[in-house]
Amino acid sequence: MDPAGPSAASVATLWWIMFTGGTLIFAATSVVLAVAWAKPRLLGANPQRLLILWGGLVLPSIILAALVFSAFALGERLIGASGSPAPLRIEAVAERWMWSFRYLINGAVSEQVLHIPAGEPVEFAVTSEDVIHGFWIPRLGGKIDAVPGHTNMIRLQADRPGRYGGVCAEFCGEGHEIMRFEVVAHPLQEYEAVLDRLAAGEAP
Amino acid sequence: MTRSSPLLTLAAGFTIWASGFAVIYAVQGVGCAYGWDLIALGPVSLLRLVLILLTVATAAIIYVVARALSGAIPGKEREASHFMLSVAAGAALLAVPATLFTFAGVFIATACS
Amino acid sequence: MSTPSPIRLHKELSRIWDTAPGLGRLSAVNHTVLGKRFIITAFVFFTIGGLLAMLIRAQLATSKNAFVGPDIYNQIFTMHGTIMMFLFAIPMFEGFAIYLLPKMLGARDMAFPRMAAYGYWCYLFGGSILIAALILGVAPDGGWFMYTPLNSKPYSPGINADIWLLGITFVEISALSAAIEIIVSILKLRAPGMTLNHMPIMAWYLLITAFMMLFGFPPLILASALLELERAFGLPFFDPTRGGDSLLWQHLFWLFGHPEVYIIFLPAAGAISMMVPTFARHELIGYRTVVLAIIAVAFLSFGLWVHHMFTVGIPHLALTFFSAASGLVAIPTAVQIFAWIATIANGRPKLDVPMLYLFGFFVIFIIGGLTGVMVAMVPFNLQAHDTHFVVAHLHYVLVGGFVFPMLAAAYYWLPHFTGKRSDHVLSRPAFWLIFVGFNLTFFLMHLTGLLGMPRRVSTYPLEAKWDWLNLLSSFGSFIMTIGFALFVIDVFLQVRFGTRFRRDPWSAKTLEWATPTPATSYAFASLPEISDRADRLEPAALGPKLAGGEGYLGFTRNNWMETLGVDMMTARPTEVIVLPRPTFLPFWTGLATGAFVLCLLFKLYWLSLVPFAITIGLWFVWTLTTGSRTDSAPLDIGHRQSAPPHWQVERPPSWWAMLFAIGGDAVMVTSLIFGSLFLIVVAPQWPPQTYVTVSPLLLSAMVAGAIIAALSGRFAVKQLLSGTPPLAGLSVAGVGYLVALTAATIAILNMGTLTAHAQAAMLFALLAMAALHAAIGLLLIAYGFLRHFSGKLSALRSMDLRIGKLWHDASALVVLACVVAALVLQFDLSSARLR
Repeated sequence: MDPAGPSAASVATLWWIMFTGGTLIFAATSVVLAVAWAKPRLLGANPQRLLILWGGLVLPSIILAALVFSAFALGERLIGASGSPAPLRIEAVAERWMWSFRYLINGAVSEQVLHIPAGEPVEFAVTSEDVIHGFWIPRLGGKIDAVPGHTNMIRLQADRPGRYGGVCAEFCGEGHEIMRFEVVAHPLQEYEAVLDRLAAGEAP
Repeated sequence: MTRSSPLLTLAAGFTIWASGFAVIYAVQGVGCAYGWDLIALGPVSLLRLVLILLTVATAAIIYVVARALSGAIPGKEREASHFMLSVAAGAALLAVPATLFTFAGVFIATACS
Repeated sequence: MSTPSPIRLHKELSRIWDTAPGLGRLSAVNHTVLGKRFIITAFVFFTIGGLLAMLIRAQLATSKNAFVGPDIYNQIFTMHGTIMMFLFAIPMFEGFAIYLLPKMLGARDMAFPRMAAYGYWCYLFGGSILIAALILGVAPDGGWFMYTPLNSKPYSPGINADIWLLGITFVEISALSAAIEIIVSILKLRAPGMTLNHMPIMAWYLLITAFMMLFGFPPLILASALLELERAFGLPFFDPTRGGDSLLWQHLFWLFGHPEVYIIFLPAAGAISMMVPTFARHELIGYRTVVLAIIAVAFLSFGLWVHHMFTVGIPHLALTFFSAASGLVAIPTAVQIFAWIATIANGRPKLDVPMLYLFGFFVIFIIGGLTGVMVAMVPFNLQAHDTHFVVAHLHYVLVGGFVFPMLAAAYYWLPHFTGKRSDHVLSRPAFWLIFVGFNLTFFLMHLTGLLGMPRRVSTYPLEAKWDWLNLLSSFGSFIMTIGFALFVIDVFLQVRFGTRFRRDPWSAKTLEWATPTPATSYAFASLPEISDRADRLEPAALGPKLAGGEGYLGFTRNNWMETLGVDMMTARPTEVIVLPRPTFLPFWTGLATGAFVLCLLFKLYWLSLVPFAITIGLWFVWTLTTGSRTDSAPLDIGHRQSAPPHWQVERPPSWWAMLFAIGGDAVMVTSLIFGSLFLIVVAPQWPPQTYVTVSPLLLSAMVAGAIIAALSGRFAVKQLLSGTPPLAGLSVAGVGYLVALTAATIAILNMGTLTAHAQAAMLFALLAMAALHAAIGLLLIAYGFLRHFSGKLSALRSMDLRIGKLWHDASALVVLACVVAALVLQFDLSSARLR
């Protein structure tokens, strides 16, 4: 995990919280099991009430409620419609086994290489021409499936200029593993020129 | 009912939960397809209002059933029917918070993409 | 009747119950024999699936590995998943259930021995078709989840996908028949006095699991049938260019697929709940709470299938339902885990080999459960979905939640199978190798997944820096394999050289240890009376008494294979169930069904009618030996009590079986109706350019015919009960069905092209579903006539017609529901859309 965008960063935070919590729960349960086996008297005279009621019901319920509701809130920020409309929209179309991108600003098109501005949220409209694919740039955030007949939206942002790898996440047949694409995040001020060159058919 | 179909009573609470689930999920899908989220009713959309009402109704029905089941538990501790009805009532009672928890999203989450 | 000596009783019962040697083995219907067969066959498939996993790890050991190409690799991982899910886990638990249930419940066999045998042959033949395809290099290669359109005709033109759809559906026949058999056996075939709250806890686990199978498998069977129709005849149910939707497949598949995980885990948890009390030397704490927890798990598991589909573009609100339910299911699971811990805390635990494996279960399963809660959270799921993190999670859950408990169960019940104890030289090293190897293999996959390695790739670039993690994973998998090899050797040594024991080697408190070991074909020479919870018994003392014929039915009569049926609630004996003798019929019927499947596979549709007709014909032959031509007085069952034979009671096992079969059928029909509504609302390319319609007259004729059939089916029962031959009722019902069937056929023939749009295809599917119900009804009417003319019906022996009545009522409702859905499908509802 090496997040390079706000979406990936907040998921990384969520992961570290869950990882720490999960480790603690695992350790606590193991200790309880070991104590139950070796020194049950430490659990009191009437351990079943403590174990089943508190360990099985009450504690997990509290932890789960906290986790589920914070995940709701985060999910709402990541995939809900809240926030300002994204200034930039790119159509990503999957086809066995390649990706093509259309930039709605000026109608430019690119294949296998995706050009985005750094520091700006971009909204992707993802669909497929044939089977189901998955649009995923691991370091920028979550993925969305490219489903034929449907158009799915996902909003991603690269914080810094640079090159990132993109993959097809949903199994799509023999070329699944080679169905990669490259993401180039350009500095914001250069981005318009890049799209102009793309539209003119020149190298960006 | 409790005499002839003990298995049904065991399943009663969560069967209502499951039916509520099916209805709420279906209404959500149909509502999005037909644009009920675009009809505003005061602070919420028509779709959200319907979903909230369905959630509350599901929880309320299960609660009534749970009360009825716990009222029907016979006194004799060792009888099988005592066991069955107390499990049935317990399951139904637990299905009430399960309902509110499962559908809590209707109050906050974005209804349609 | 006087009680014979134990030896003579044993000889007489063995003569009646034993399976003949040699080719006669093919006629086995006995639960002990079939249970072992299921277990051994499932283990063979497990070995094949494990070898495939080794190939996967060999391929992934280094980046850019050229060991196998993607075409072969896709077959390997598809078959690994398919085999482990359908040919190993489910049949393995069925085998344990079939072998153990009657012995735990105090019965001599399962309720429908011939169905169990038929289920075994379906499983064996269906599984063999898949393995043959693997050897021939034409195995399914589109993923064990068979997503469309990848597995639709344009993108998978070969026979590979057909093999999955037909082969697995064939295997599922055995799962469904086992589910019904398990339910009825638990509800009806218990020892007198063993009320539901006194059952051994594993019976509760198996009862609820069987219900989950009954409701979980029909959506998959339906989806497989629809996809096969699409592949074979071009009906576009899942084709997005013609009004179908690939998401419909995903919904139907995961509606089965997630409950499936709990269908696998719960029986294992049942076994754990039997073993933990034995080794804690204390009865299970919180019996009632555990039953409650199983019920909650069973239901919740049907409300979280979309967590496999968080990335398909469903609105966040809908995702929250499934995310919350996925998190919620952890609570009843935690309750069970702490019930086991509480049992240990209350007891005087002793460590033995099964308990060692259970510790392995605790560690691995808890980690799997925790990562499960993590991937249930939508934002994290979007990142981890389809990566090796999920591979790690699912193996922690399934291997931790099923394989480790099953290894423990193998060591625990092996003495029961063999009558011998192990000296356990190899079982401890085997455990440590499997445990360490497993964690090395799969713990690291959490990391590779977090580093972004997607699933289902055969190569990955060197620059990704996943090499060392993958190499260690592969190394771990070899350690694990050595552990499994030791386990096999250990079992072999125990079978061959173990030391004999008398009874109950673990000092367990449950009834299965009261049978002779190795188990006799009839399990109990006489059936016990249970007056307390059935995990508080003293098998060592009880066993000899039962062998001496002191319980119920401690004698033989008419060469009948008898066991007792009890009232579901009070557990008082209500009937003597006379079970069918060993017969080759299940074998031949399984072969005929297999020939039918092969015909479909090779697209010999006209020829397929021959094995199909033979299968139906054989079903009728099955019934020739059942029932009686004379009314019988109540039969002596011992202890100065008597009970009628099962064909003279109101609700015999087969009545319940029909009721539950109808329950599964209702799920299938509901799934189909859900599918047509789903396409109307969600699928692209709607509304269709032209609507295919069916004349309302024909639709009304279908409903009218089915209702007439249901009413006259009821009338036939009335006639029979009042002493009149039921010919009028049966005839009119037959005519009603014929009307419905004819109307449906005319309607289908007049629909024109079915391949242009999913609207027409769905309309066809609804009419065909209605017609199928009418056709089965017609067969039941024919069965009624057969029973009447062979003299098997009387006012006292009316069960055949009453079972038919259940179906006639249900099929009238189904025809009505299908017709209403068909009407909805003919109207353009898109004008009401605001979007």
